[in-house]
Amino acid sequence: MAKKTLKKIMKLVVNTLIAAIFIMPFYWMFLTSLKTLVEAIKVPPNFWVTVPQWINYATAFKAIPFLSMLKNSIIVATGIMICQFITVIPAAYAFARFQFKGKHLIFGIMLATMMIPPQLIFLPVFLMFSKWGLINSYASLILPFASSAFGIFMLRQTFMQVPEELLEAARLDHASEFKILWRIMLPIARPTVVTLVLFSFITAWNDYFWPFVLTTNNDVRTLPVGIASLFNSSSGVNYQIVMAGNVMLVAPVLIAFFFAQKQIIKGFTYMGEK
Amino acid sequence: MKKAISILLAAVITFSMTACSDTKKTAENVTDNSQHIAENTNAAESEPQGDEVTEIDFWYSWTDTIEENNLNLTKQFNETVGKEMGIKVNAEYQGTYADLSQKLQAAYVSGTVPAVTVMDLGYITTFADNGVFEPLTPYIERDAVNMDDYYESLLENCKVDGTYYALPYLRSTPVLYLNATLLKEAGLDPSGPKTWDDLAAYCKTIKEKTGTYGLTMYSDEWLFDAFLLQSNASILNEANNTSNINTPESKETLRFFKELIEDGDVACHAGSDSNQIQIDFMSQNAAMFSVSSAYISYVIGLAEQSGFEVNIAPMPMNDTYGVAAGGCNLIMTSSISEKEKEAAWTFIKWMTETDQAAYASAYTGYVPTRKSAVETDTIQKLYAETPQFEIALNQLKAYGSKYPMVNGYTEAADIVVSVLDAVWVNGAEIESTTADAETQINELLQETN
Repeated sequence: MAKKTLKKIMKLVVNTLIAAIFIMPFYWMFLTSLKTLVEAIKVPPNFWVTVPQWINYATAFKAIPFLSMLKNSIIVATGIMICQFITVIPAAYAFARFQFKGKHLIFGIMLATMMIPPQLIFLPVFLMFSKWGLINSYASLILPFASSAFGIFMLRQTFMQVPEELLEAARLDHASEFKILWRIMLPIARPTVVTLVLFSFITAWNDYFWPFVLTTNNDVRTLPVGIASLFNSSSGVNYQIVMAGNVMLVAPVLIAFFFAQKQIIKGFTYMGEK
Repeated sequence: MKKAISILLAAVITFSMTACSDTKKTAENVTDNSQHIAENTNAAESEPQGDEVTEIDFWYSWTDTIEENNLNLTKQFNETVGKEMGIKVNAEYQGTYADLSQKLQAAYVSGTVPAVTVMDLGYITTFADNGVFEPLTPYIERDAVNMDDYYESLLENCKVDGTYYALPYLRSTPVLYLNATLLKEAGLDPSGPKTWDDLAAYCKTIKEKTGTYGLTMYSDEWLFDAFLLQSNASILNEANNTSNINTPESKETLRFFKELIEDGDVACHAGSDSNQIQIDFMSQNAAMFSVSSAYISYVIGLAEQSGFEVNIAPMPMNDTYGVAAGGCNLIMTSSISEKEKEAAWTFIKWMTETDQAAYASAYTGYVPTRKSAVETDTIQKLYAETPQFEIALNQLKAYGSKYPMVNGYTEAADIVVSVLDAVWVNGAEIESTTADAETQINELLQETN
């Protein structure tokens, strides 16, 4: 009995510790967003605020074209999500379930694209889009991420675990490949798909590099570009304003994660099962 | 399988390399446009054709007051001169100076350059040498711009090989910020140290009496250049073809501050940690620091909130006084149409006129670039209210030096920063560090020029 209680306490302590490590940066961000600049750069720092400065949020909101950047962020992230949904699922299905010539080579090529950093290819891509007159357009921010090697790989793993008998039964009933994919594969792979959708959304939502280098004005720039511009303040950094901007930037992602966390955990467990 | 991947990767890398060298080729294809200007003079004098509006882009760096200043001036231009002449300017933010210059390279290669952009002094020579910038001398001569009205040391940074490529815009000198409250507490004269010996004595006394650092700084090539100028030297020699980093003056400067740092009287942060000095100063962890005069309003405001008094002082002297002027100029790009060039020149000329120069200075804290701007009510009122602003200008007038204008200087500056990081932050030995850096910088200058 005593041993059991001790075990419980130990578990609680370890869990609290791990939770604290992960929560701390978010708490710090939120806390700093409510400080004055003097408090924000004070050494040693305070771990609470007596008079929260909600005005920082208004300042950050006004310092950049917040609403139009928010709109751009939503369009770009949603666009990327939809494109990936369309391209990733059939590709993963094909790699998982069909035998065709050059399958392994193509799969290898696809995986290799994961190893190329955007910093290496942005100039040729910039030139290409520039030739097509796509600079400062949503297309230039969405098209490069219209598919995802990581997504195809992850979903392929899930699809491969679906028992062949299920598919054969469906084929016997003359189900079309599309129907098999839509009615059998996807429902089984639901946790993985939800995870992927969220991942692609979050990656697109957080991306700073691409939306910054492929735009020359604020027409289609996304929120991370705006928040980063707060940091490039001409006369010294106002950390509390940058943090207020960051809170507003990550809030939607945190909310999305909160609602989908069960699916995400399932998705990863499923991928690991052999 | 693995082989296939590695072959593929190699192919990808080779492809991206060819893509890069292609861009270089395009850059070399730039034709010299200067003769067109002379031919076009007559066209420029005639009225704009019909109601057609010439739209040009103007790129700028930094947000906050600089951004507001740029947007306000652009708006004013569009509503007045622009409206009259049929020109519309779109002001567009592009990140830091380094971000902007990288984006300009990409835009140049793809043929989508802005007509006008602000440009950090360090990049001007490289871009001008590669034909990206339009020479302004023909325009200046044609419109008889009164160049004597500009401060001489500012103009030095607008020329490459005697040709004007830029006009001075947001320019500044480093000044010394003092925590007067701490200085008084330590029993020191709050007006600040006048010489380097004073500076060392100040730092020691402050440390002893109050326990905080006397001075906080970071590995900054601009500040080091000022220190060298105060020691009758500079980072590069007069002809800008060899480095002075391994000279006795340079090594003595390094040693002077190294000792103060090792004694704990001065704090020095790595070059990548530049924001740390403001934090040190604002949290009263250090009594003095030196940055651009553009920070004056920000620092005074913050100190008021923190409950201490700030004084601004000129940089102390060693063998002499000296500071290098920093900041950005306005330039015009070359690969745009003649019509756009005329519009760009009209805009640049207007932006640097007396009233606008006074407005920008009062709004941002940068120095007025023109002598006539100092005479305006705007600036006179500013100096009456906040006399600290005048210090940067006085330094510039009395002994402001030009920032080195040479191809590859930004890379050379990076090497200097690494020397400062090594010697001041990581306690490396001076002799061998400066000898290595000298070789590196000299080789670099040879390669790029």
